[in-house]
Amino acid sequence: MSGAGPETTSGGFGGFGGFGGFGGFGGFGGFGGFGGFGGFGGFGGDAFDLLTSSALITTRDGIAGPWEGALTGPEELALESSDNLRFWAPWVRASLFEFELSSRLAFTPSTGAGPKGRKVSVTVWHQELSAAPTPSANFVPLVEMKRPTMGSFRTQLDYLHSYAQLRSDRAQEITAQLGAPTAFLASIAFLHSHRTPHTLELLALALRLANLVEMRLKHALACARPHELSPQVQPMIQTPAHGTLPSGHATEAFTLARVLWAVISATPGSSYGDPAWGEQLMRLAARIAVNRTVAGCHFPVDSAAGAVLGLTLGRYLVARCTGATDTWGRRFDGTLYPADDDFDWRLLFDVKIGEPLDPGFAPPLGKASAIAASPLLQWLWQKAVAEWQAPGGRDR
Amino acid sequence: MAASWSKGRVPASVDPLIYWRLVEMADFLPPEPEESRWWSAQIELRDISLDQFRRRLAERSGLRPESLFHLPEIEPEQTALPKERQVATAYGTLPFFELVFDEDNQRELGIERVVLGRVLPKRQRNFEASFGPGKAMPGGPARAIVAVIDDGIAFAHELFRRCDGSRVEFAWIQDGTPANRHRGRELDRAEIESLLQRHSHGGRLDEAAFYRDAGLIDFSDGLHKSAAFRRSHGTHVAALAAGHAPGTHDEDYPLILVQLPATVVEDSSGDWIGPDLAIAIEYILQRARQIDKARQAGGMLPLVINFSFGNFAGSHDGTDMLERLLDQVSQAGPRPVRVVLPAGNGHLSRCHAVLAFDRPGQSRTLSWHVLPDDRTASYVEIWLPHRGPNPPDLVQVEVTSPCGRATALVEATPGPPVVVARDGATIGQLHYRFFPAPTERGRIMIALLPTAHETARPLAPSGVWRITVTNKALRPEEQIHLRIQRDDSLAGYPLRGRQSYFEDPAYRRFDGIGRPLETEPEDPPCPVKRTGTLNAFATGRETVVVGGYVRGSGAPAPESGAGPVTPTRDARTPHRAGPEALAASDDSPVQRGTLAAGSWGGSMVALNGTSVAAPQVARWLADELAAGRSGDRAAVRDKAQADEQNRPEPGPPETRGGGGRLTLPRQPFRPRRLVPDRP
Repeated sequence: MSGAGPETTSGGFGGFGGFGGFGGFGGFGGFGGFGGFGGFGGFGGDAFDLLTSSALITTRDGIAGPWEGALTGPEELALESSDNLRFWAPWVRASLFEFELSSRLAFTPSTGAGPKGRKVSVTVWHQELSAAPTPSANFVPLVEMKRPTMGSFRTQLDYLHSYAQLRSDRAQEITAQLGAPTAFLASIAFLHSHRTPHTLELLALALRLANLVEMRLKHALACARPHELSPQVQPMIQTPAHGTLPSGHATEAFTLARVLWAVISATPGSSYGDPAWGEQLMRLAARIAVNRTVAGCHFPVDSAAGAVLGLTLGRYLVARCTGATDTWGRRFDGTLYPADDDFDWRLLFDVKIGEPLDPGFAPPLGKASAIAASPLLQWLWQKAVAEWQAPGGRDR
Repeated sequence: MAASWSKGRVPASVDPLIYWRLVEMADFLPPEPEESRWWSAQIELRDISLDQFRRRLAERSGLRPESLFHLPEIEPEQTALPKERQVATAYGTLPFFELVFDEDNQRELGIERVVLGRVLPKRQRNFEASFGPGKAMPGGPARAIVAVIDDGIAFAHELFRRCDGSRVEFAWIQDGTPANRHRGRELDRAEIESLLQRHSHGGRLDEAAFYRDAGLIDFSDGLHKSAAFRRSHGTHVAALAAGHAPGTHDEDYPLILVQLPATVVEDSSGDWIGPDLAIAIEYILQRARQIDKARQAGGMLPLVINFSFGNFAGSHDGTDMLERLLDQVSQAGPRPVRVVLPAGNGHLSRCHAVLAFDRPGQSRTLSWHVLPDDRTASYVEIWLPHRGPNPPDLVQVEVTSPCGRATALVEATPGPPVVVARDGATIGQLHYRFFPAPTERGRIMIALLPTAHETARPLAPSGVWRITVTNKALRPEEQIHLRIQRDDSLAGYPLRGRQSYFEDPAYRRFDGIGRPLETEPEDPPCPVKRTGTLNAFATGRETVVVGGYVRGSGAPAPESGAGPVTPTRDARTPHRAGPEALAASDDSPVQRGTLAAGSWGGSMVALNGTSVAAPQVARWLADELAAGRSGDRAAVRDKAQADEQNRPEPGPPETRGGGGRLTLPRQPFRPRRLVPDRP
C-alpha cells in the first residue's frame, strides 16, 4: 500500500487508522472482519453502489408524495462538544484525535553543539496551552535523545550475529509482526471489534502517536542500520528505509502495552489491576522488540531507546486523556548505554509499581508538570475504559 | 623431543587421524593462533599416576607443564594415585600432542591411547578454576539421583522445580559463561534458587533474564544457544527422565545436569565428544557423593545417567574408549549406577555395509555418495576382523574420486597415511591403524575434506566416490564392516554437516506401497545393511540400550537402530543382539514424536527418535533402583517381555526390539502452576 511508511501500522487497526481514504492506514489488513467501521457491508452506509442508488431514486419517486418543506427540530448541536463525537465516523474521529495530539507536540534540536559541530541531542516537547484568546504555550519536555557512538553500534553488531541463530525459530512471529501487533495484544487482553471497539480506536491512536514521534527522532538521529556495518548481517526481512534508533517496533509495542494496561486496569477493583496482566503485556512488547534483532534489523540499543520512548509516550497519552499533575519526561542517552549490553526491559520498568525505573542511560527529564485532559481524548478514554468494566456494570 | 608436525610430514608413531584433524584440517578450524588453540583430549595411561605423568612429561620436554597441558578438575587424592589403567581428560596445545605421540614418551610414560576432543574457545576456559568440593543443599531423604548429559537443558522449567525452589542440585554448562570451571560454568542448587528468586516477579519467572544470568542463554557471544529454541533436546529428554510437577516429588529425585558444549554437539559425528563425556561422568560421580552426604547420611543413592546421543562409526564391539568407560562406570560399584543410551537413529541411514569374499584377489566396489555443501569432513571406517595381535595384510582399499582424477590406495599394514590428492593438493587421506587389545582389530580410515567452505581451500569434490576393497587374506567366513561416520546437522543448528551414504543397486528403500522398507530383503543380497546400525556408544556390555516404537501401530520406529554388535576378539557370538527393549517414541505414524517439556516454562513440544525412548526407561530404572530392585539390563528386558505378553500383534525381532515393547506411563507429568491461586 502506498504511504505505508510506519513499520507496523499498515493495515493495522482497520478503520480506526483515520487514513482510510489514503490507503495507507485504512486497509484492515491486520484485523480482518473488522469491516464494520469502514463499510459495514449492507448497513454501514458510506458509499452506495449504483444499483442501490438507482433503487433509492425510484423508491423516492414512489413514496415521497408532494413536497411539504422542513419539519420542526432537531435541536442545534452544541458547539465544540465531545458529545458530538459519537456522530462522526471513526476515521473522522481519528483525524480529530490526531490533530489533538500532534498540534501539542514540538521538536527541537539541542542548542549545544557536539564535537565536529554536530547537534548532540534532540528533544520532543509537549505544549501546554494557556486559555487566552491568543494562546501561549508552556513547553514540557517529553523525551530527549542522544544517539550512541558508531563505536557502540559496532560493538553491538556482535549481537546481530548471535541472535541470528534464532531466525528459523522466530520466522513466523517476525513475519506476523510486520503489521500491527493487534492479534498479539488480543491474545492477552480480550480485544474484539464488537466487544472493545473504542479500546481498539484508542490503540490505533497510540500507535499513530508512537509512529509520529519515533519517525521524527529517527530522522533527526539518523543512525545506520546493522546491515550497513557488515555484509554478513543479511537480514531475513526487508529493512525499512529509516534510521535504526529508536526501534519503531519497540516504541510502538511498549506504547501499546502501557496504554492497553492502563485502560484495562483503570476501573478500580478491576481484575485487570493484577500486575500479571502488565507483566505479560511488557513481556510481549519486549519479545516483539527482540524479534527485530533476530530478524537482523535492529541493535539491542535500538530496542532500549524504543522502550524508553514507548513507555514515556504511553504514559503521556494517558495523561492527555485523563489529565495529570506529575508527568515526567525521560532522557535516553545513547552514549551512556553500555555498548556490550543486551536489551533488558526490566531495567526500564517495574510492573509491580507500574512505574518506570531510572537506569543511568535513561534518567527522568525536567520536573513534574501538570497536563490538562483534552476533552476529545477524554471522551475516547472513557468509552474505552467502560468496555473493561466487570459484568454488572460496577462503578458505572 | 618430538619432531614438529607439518603438512605432509607426519612421524610414524602419530595416530594419522589426530594428525589429520590437527594439521591437515587446521584451515577449517575457527581462526585462532596455533599456540593459543587448546584442545581437549582423552589419554589412556598405564601404571602411572597423573602427577607423575605431568612431572615426567614436563621433564622430558624441558617445558613448563602449564604451558603444555592441564589436567581436568579431579580430586587431588586421585591425581597422586598410580593406577594400573586410567583414562584422563587433558587440555593441551599442539606441542603437547607432539609429545604424547613421541614413541619414547609413549613407552616411558605408559601412554596407551589418545582421543582428540575439541577446541576450547577462550571465553569458555578458565584453567585457574577447579571443581572444588561442591556442596549439596540439605533436604529430606531422596530415592535416586538422576543425571542427564545433553544439549540445551532449560533447567528452570517447572518440571525440574520444587514448590519453593529447584530440584536441580548441580548444573554444569560446559560452555557456560563466565567460566567458573576449567571450562564452562557450574551452578549449584543454592545459586539456582537465588537466581530463581531474583528473576521472579509476582511469582512468575522471567526466563530470558534468568537464563542470561545463569550463563545458559547469553547472546553476548555468538555460540549456539540450544535452550533458546522452543524445542530443545536436553529439556525434553530431561523432562522424560525426571520431570515431576512441583509439589509431587520435590525431594525424591535430585538432579545433576550436564550440558555439553554447543561446538561438540554441532559436529554430530561426535568424535569430539569423548573428553567432554568422560569429564561429565567424572563430575556426576563426584557430585553424587555430595548429594549422598547432604541427603542420605551414610548411604549411597542409586544413580541413573541418561545420555541420549548417538554415533555411527567405531569398532561396534564395545571396546572403544567411550564404551568401555560407560561399562566401567556401570559396574564399578558399590553405588548402583545405570547408564541409559538410545539405540540410535541410523537404521535407514545407509551408513553400514558388510563385505565378505570367497577367495583372495577378489574385489568389491561400493559407491559412497558424498553430498555437496558439506562443510565438515566425511569419514568412512573399514573395520577388519580379529586376527590376533599381529594380523597379516588382510585387504587393500582403493578410493577414486567422482571425476576419477584422484585415486589412492592403502594396504592393511602399519605405515604413514596415504594422501588423496587432486592437482597436487591434499583433499583426503587413507590410513591403516591397528588397535591393540582389547579391540585387537585393524581399521582403514578414509577421511575427506569438506566439499564446501566459506574460506578454506582446497575442498573435496562431492558426488559418488568409489571404494574398492580387494581381498588379500580374508577367509570366506570373515566379514569386514564399512561404517560412514555420522555427519548431519541437528535441528536448530546451522546447516554445516550433510550425511553421506552408501549407494547400491540392490538396496531397496521402499516396499510395494511406498513405505520405507524396514526389513532386510533376502534377495538380492545387498552389502548395505540395516542390521548392525546400533548407536556406536551403545555397543557395550553393561549399558542399558533403548530403541523406539510407534505407540499407535506397535511397529518399531523406522529410524530405530538394529543390532547385532560385532563380536569381540574373544567371542564367537556378539555380546549384544540388539537394544534391551523399545519405548514409545512416536505417538502414531502421523503424530510423530512424544510430548514433553519445551524450553519455556509451561510449554510442551513433540520430539521423536530413540533419544526420547531412552529417558523413559531411565525414569523407570530410577524407580526400580529406589525400590531396592535390580533395575538393570535384565530387568528392562524382563519387563519388556512381560509387557509384550499383553499385546495382540507380534513383537519386533530381537535385533530391533530386544525383549520387546515396554508399556510405560504415557504422560508421566502435566504442566502445573507454581503460582498459588490469586484471591
